[in-house]
Parts: sequence; structure tokens; C-alpha cells
Amino acid sequence: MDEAITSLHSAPARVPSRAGAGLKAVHYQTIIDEQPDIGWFEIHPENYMGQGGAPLRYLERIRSDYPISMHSVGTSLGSHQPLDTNHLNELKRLVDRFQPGLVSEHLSWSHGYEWYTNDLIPLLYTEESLKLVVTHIQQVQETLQRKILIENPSSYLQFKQSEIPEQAFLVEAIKRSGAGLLLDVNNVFVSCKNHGWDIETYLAPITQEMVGEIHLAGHAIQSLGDQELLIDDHGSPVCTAVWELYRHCIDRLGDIPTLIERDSNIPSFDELQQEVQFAEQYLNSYREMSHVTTG
Amino acid sequence: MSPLAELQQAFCDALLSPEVPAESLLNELVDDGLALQRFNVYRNNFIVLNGDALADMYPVIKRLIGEEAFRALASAYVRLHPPQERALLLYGAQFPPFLESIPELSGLPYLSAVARIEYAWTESYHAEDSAVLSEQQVSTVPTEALGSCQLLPHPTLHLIHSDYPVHAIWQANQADDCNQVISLDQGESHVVILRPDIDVEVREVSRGAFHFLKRLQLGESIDRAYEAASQQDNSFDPGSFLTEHLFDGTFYKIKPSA
Amino acid sequence: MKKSTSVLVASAITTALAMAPMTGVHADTEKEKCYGVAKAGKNDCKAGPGTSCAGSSTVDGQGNAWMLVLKGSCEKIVGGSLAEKG
Repeated sequence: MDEAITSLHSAPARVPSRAGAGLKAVHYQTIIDEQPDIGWFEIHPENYMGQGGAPLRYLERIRSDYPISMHSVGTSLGSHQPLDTNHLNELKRLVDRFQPGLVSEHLSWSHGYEWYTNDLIPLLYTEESLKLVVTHIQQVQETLQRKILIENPSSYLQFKQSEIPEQAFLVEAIKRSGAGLLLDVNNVFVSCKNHGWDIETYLAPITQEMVGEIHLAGHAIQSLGDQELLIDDHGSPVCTAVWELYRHCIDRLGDIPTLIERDSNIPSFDELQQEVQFAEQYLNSYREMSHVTTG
Repeated sequence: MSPLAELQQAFCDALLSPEVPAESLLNELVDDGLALQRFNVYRNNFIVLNGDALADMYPVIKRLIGEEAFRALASAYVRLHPPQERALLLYGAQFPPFLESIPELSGLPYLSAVARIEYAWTESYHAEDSAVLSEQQVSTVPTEALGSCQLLPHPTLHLIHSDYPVHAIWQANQADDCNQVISLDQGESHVVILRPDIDVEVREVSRGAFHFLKRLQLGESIDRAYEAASQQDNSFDPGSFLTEHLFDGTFYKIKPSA
Repeated sequence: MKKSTSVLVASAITTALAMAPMTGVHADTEKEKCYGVAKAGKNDCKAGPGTSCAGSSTVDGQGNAWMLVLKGSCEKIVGGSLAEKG
């Protein structure tokens, strides 16, 4: 039975340079029934690591109609602990079965002892961490037999011992490991605001060849006295400032597959799709513009 | 230990504790006057997001004790039993015994068994898909050999017994049915949870049927399982039980005893 | 093993077999569009409630520092050890 399932998707379906949406369980049936015109869907593989049952059947069905991307939250690339080979093997099983067009993971850690925080905690940006992250990325890529994308994190604190700026660390990890970059534009905005970093400085070392995917999401704003902390809660539509930053990134980096992420206060599929179309309109107008200027 | 390992372990220690983090950890954070609040974002994520996973696993428990009490218990549980796996699909295995250990809940003695039904439901939901017993498989066994065969219950099948009417309590909390009165004097409950195909089924069965399935699950022959079941419940009638359940997904395989 | 047990069990199974529909197909057409209950995934990459005090409340599960306020669902569970609570 497993072999029959594997053979359904003999090769990865490329994720197109269109806008896509994070796949939520409450939208499964609408997507199957209405077959919306949407470029691709993204899943967290950890949610499909059961052995059978409904989630895998839904995913099998939706994968037969759309390309998918797998965005892992569990490998803990920045942990001092060795990677969990059971988790890696589960990830490989899903990648082999569903043949995603893209596979990605965060620049973060979640594993300090023999238990997991289920969160994305920022790294200590030192040479020691860099070597470790590069080794871990390479281990994931060797296991999966493919290149992965690494996402810039949103973060709320920094460690004093850090010696390397986040963007330099990220770009160096990508260069040394042969991975690509998943540029989360909202995370750039959130982290720069939270730490008083300059957005242009952050984006400066990022080049077109590195970036394989873009993420967009909404964040919350919390006031603390006369300061604000932005919380990456994926609970509201993308804000105006992040849309502006997105257009800036597309103009600089090209028409990169773009995902709208929504993980709390999940709206109807129609409402989510409107946001996806908003991103897609910009990708289209970028292509028209660049066609005019280059052609 | 390397500076990275030390820092990561100190960070995890601070996530587990509700107290202000150790000075040694706070000294590691860039401080703009908000270092503690910044750290709190991570501790809140740890407690609340894992608590959400627990609430998702145990919706009936949450209804039975209310949101506020559930949150308090979930926070304590997350600290005591942080996730052991990266996928949270089956997070919360220790919650039923944890509920039993809380003195304030001793007035709700059925709670832990209701939680076991909910956990078993999710285990069945994510279990490997398995075929169900077919007429074809049974008809190939000679009649005289049937009694000595093993009749294996479906691999997704779980059995839960409680001295309280936990099936009725679980059932009443599946919908917003406000008018039900459930009397604990109804007594014990024998619950079978299984997923023959795509939908998880939760059934109440007789005492005899429960023990019959339990023995079969242990790999005993049909004869032995029947004898054990009828000792527990002399009204157990294998004829009517098997007519109803032999091919409804309760079983998946018949084979000669090992 | 008593012989009567074996005979009883065998007759129960042969009866079940005789009464089972021999079609071998169980209404598959009905199920074609049904993929079952869509339970929400539990892993994602959002952040939680930010800087609130959710993670620093002092309930510790030891029973000394907290009082559980039990506000149950609307159905009534009566009898047994709960009788006195009305």
C-alpha cells in the first residue's frame, strides 16, 4: 500500500512564483469542494507525522490538486543537542511521500534538554553556533537528499554573548551549507522593530540567488511603558507597513513564491484568499513592469 | 560544557519555572530595561502554546471543569511534563494520571477516565490505517478450528473501564446539550474506542463483551476469551455479540493460535 | 477446554458469517467525498500571548498555592459522591 502511495507523486511539483496560503484544517473541505485558484499550499510536516487517518488523507487529496511546501518547526537546527534522527526520518518519509516543491526550517532552537519547548528560540550568534547550525543544515539536506531553505526568525530578545549580526550569521550559514533563504518579511519587520535594527542594513547582504520563498503574516503590538514590542502571532491580516516592505523586497529580489501565514483568529477561506490575491497582484505587476523595462 | 549548551539549558530551566529567572540568565540578555518582559514572551509561548495543544486533546475535560481551571492545570502539567516529541499530535499522555493526583479534583472521580477516552480517541485518529476482518478470511477456517483461533481486535481499538458512567458523560459533552442529567449512580462503564476506517467510534459495551475483547487483544484463543468473559458476566452471549460486531470493524484478523 | 465452549464459539462465528452481507463492498460510493473529522494541527510557528503574565502565574500543581475554580459545563452530573454538592 505504501509503495502505491509513494508512486502517486514521482517527483516534486515545483512551487510556482505565485502566492500561496498556509493550509489549515478548517479549510480542507472548502479547498477540496471549490478548488480555488491558488498557487500552492504550505504545511507544517509535524502535523502530519501520525501513522494514518484523516490528516494524511486530506493532504493526499490536496496534494493531488496543488503543489505544496513543507515548513518544518521541529528540527531545532540551533540546538547544542544532536538532531533527533527519529524526527528526521519522519520528515524524510513525508517528503518522499508528498514530494513538496520546497522544504524549509527556522534559524532557531527548541531543544535544550531531553524535551522540547515547541517554540522558536533565538540563537547565540557566535562562531560556535554557526559551525553547529551549518553541520545540522547539512545533516538535514543529506537525509532528505535535497536543498532546504532557512527562515530568518522573529525574536524578542538578544544574548549579550552574540558576536555576529543576525543577517550576517544567516547569510554565512546559507553560503556554507548550500541552503537557500526563506525570507519572512514580517519577521524582518518584527525583529528590526523589537531590537532597534535598521531594516535596510538587515536586507543588504541578501541577494536574489539566495531567496527561494517569502513569508508574510500579521503581528500584534504590545505597549510596555513608552516602548512597544511586536509579537509575531499570525493572528491578523498583513499590516500596511509590512506590505510596503514586501513590495520593496520583490522589487529588489524578483517574483519569489510568497506565502500568507495565518495561525490564529483564522478567517474564512475566502477572506484568506483575498489576502493571497493581494500578494499575487503585486507579483503580477512586478512581472509586467520588469518585462517593460527589460524588454 | 560549551557556552552554548550552558545558555540553552539555563534558558530551559527558566522556561519551566514560574519564578523570576535566575540573575545569571538575565545577565546574559541584552537589557534595555525590558529584559524580563522579553524573556516572558518565550515563557508564555512555552506555557500557553503547549497548553493549547493540551486543550485541543482534552476538550471534554475543559468543558467539565471550565476554562480557568483547565488553564491552571495545563500550566502545571506543561511544567511537569514538557513535550517529549517534536510533533505535538499525541502530547498529553500523562494528563489522566496527573488529574488523579490533584487533591482539588477528588470530588470529580470520573475525570481521569473521561480523559483516557479523549486520549484514546486521538491515538485512534492518528493510528496506522488497517483493514478490517473480511468474511473471506473467516470462511477459510474450518469450523472445528474456529474456537482455538486468535481473533485479533482492530489495531486502533482501545478499551477503557471506569466505575462511573464515563461514556454518558463523554457523549453528553460532544454537543451543546444542556438538558442532560447524568447520575453517577448509573455505575460502571465499559468503553470501546476504534477507527475501522476514517471515523473514530466510541461505543459502550457490556461487561462481558469488554472482557472478551480484552482477552482477545492479549492474543488468547476465542474459546479462552469467551470463558473468561462469561466468568465476568454470565449473561454474555457470543452469538449476538459476534453477529453484530464480527465484520463491523471491531476485528481485523483471524489466525491459528501461536 | 470444555468442548461445549468450542461448539458455542464456532456456532456463534458461523452464524455471524451466515448473516454477514457477502457483497464485500460496504457502501464505498457514499464515502468517496468524505475524509473524516479535520482536527486542527497542533504545531505551528506563531507566537503566543506576548508579554502577559500567563507563564509566570504561580499555580504549581502542588495544591498549596492555588485554588481551582471549577466551573463545569452545563449538563448536570448528579448522584454518587457528588450528591452533597447539589
